Amino acid sequence: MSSTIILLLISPLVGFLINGVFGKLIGKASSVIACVAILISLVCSVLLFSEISSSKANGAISYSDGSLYEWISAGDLSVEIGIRVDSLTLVMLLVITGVGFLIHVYSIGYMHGDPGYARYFSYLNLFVFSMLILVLANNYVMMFIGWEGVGLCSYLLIGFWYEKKSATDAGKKAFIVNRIGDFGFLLGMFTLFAAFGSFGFEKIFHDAEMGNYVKIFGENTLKIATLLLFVGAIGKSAQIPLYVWLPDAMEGPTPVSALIHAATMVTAGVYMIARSSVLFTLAETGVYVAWIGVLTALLAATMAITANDIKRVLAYSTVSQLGYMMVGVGVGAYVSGIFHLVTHAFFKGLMFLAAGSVMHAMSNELDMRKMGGLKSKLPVTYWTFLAGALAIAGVPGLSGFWSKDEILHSAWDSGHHAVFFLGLVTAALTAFYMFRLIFVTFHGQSRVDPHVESHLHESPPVMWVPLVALAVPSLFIGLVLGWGGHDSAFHHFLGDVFYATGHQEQPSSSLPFMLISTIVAFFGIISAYILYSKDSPKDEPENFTMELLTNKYYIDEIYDAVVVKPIKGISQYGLWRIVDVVIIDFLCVGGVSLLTRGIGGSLRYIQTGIVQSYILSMVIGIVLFLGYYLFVR
Amino acid sequence: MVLSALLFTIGVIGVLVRRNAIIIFMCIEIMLNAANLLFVAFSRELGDSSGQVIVFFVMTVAAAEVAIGLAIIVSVFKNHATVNVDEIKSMKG
Amino acid sequence: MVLLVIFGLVAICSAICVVAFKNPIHSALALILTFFSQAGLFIALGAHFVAAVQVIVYAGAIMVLFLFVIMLLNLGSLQDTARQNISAIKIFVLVLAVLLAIEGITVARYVDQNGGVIKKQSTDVIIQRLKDDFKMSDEDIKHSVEELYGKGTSVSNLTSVQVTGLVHGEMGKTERIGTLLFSKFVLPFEVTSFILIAALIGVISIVNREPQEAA
Repeated sequence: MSSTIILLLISPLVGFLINGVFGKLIGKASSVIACVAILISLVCSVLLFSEISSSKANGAISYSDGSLYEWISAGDLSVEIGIRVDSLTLVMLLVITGVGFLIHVYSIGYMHGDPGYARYFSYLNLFVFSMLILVLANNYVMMFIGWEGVGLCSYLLIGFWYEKKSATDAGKKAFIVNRIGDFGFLLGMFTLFAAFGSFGFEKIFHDAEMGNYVKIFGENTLKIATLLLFVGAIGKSAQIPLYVWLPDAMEGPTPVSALIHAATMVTAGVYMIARSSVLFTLAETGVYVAWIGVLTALLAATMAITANDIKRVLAYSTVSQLGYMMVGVGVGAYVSGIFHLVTHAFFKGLMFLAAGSVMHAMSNELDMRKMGGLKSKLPVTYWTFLAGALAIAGVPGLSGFWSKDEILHSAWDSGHHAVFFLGLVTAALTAFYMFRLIFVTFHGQSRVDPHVESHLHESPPVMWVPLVALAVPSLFIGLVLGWGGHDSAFHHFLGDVFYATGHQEQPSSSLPFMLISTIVAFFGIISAYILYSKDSPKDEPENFTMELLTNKYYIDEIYDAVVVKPIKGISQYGLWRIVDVVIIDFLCVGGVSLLTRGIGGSLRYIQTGIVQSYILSMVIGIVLFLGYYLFVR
Repeated sequence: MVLSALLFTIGVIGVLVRRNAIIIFMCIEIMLNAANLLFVAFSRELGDSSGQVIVFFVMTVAAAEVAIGLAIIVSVFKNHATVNVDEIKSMKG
Repeated sequence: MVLLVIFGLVAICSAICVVAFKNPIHSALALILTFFSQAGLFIALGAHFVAAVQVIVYAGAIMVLFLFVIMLLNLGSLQDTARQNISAIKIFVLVLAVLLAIEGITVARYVDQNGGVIKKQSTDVIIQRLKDDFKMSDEDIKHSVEELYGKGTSVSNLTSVQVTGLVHGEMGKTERIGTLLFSKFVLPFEVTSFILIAALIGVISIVNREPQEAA
């Protein structure tokens, strides 16, 4: 089994290296290499899955946790490069490699003709490699390496078209905001190390359960550690207040948005919390996670209502759905949170790719208001997009319905009633904005610019085949995995990974919840239909609320004024002028030279060049020395 | 022993006071001789002949040193046309 | 004892003359006198071999070198005055005081340890040492004793004074020093030859250098 794991991990790395080094030479072939690399990883994941699930059924080992290489060994500190493969890992692996592979294939068509073709694929492979490290890690340090790696790759890929200033700005923004989160993550890691003496998952979780650790912050040690880790997740998974990078991240190529920002990287935060379920449950900090999650979900959904850029809508939608996942893991329903992660990966990835297909057809036009009536022109794109939208809206029977419903159900059951209601409102908004997008883009009269219209065509097969391939699971995976609520196949597979609190309330019946979700979903869809599917869409009302929403609550501007400008000012005037110029240049460097000159100038007079003066000094010196030696000692 | 000390100090004065390089050299020889005297005196007192053997070596070294020193002085004279140490100040700095 | 005082006074006077004379040639002559009186002092102390070497090496070779150089550089006509800025007397007193102090203290320590200026050793030890250092056989010792104190004196019956006299006498002899030189001090001896070679090479290289521009 370990060779499978290693092959899985190494394959994208090799792809990255080959493409990175020889990219320019091999041109088109780089895409094939990249896809093959991911395919290998996918096959390995499937093999691992079958191995572990069969051994589980037999009651044998259900996971593998071992060290590959002792990396740091310094006194008490010992960090290893180790791999853990258990049910949770497998789920993540399948999602990453599966969706990743389809996106790679899609990119072959989407990035056709782009000068940075090979560079793109090498970055994609590097990204998958980093993500694999993240999920395969068996200790926090290795996870952090993967964490940073995906952060780096998102910077590289968002700013892929680096000649565009908006792209590079977006890349920087993503990386920096992420970094703030990483700082929290690091502090959390250090707290854990100080308390547990190790970074490894097994040891930490085991000791935490036993209560066997150094309480450096008293009783609040675990609380503080988990909250700090959560800060990292806030940055990576775009929660309040560190979500601002994700909408801007749409500057990158659309498949990048699909892979990184829908399916994998942003879910790293959720994964991390799920992995640390023991700690979060014991520390009872999940409530903060849930609240931030639901507020984020609500806020993002409101912003999505007024966005006119297709990708923006999807971006806010991602932020919103991530909020849902946070709610899931926050209330202790770890399995449900991961379930939503899986379904979201499929339908959001699908929708991003479909949006890319629309853009490709519309010669890179993004504004919904300039579209319309594309249903007939781009049939495959339309139907797959619709599939995704239905899934996310929570139409009964489809994926989103199952996963969202579970989360809301768990929220209610664990007593977070307010969270439940807010989540419900968000669900309505989700359905609303999603179908607004569908109706404006695909239905009604065509508002397409005639010049663009002449180029309008459906995407090539290399692009729509992955769309279809994603559409099917988007629709049905929820059913397959989620049938039976807490008794589902998914729960059985994943349940034992997470830490369960001692008491299990009898889960209430699912039926009322299903009913409520359905009503809410249809409410949203119908509202959208009423407002937007007329031939000429209503002009948006021009009141204050609309202003606020359209400008994203001016949060970016607030950040700029409160955070960015002061820091820049301090650096420029305070630090540079005062510290650098005066203190360092003048006092220290100049001072040293003046000192040397002064001392040298005065000592110079000893060197007279006259031998006898030297001898005189010698004699005097000897006399003094001998005198001291004789009389003092 | 007193004698030796006396001779030695005379030599020191000579080294410090005179300006002619050759004469300074000669005063150095006086100092060396004073040291030799001391060696021999102690050798006799302690009944150990090692002192005299050491004197033998000292003399050898002194001879070598005189040879080289004089060669240097000659060379300096060629460059500066003087043996007045006050005027040979090129190492002043 | 008398010799010591006479030679000592001469030595001191000539040394002062070396320092005081203005003409280099006069100083050189005074130096020769100093060396000779030094040789006399050595003889008074019983170190005959060293005295001989002194005359040969110092007065003979070194002074000749000095005179050669003085002639070569034609310094005979140069008059040299003492410099004014150093107070000779003060330094004289200072250095002398220190040196005497050193000697005094060393002697004082030495005397305290042993209750006498010279270690009181038994006759046997002394004679044994004579044998070891100078590689004298019993024959030689007997011979020397008889030379000093007349025939018939046996070795074992010597008083301490007589032994002291014996040692002092033997010490200065060339033969004895030679023995010591090649047994205990053979390594320094060889090294000295290196020193001489180095001096030789040094001198030749210095003198053969191309004259530089005057600074």
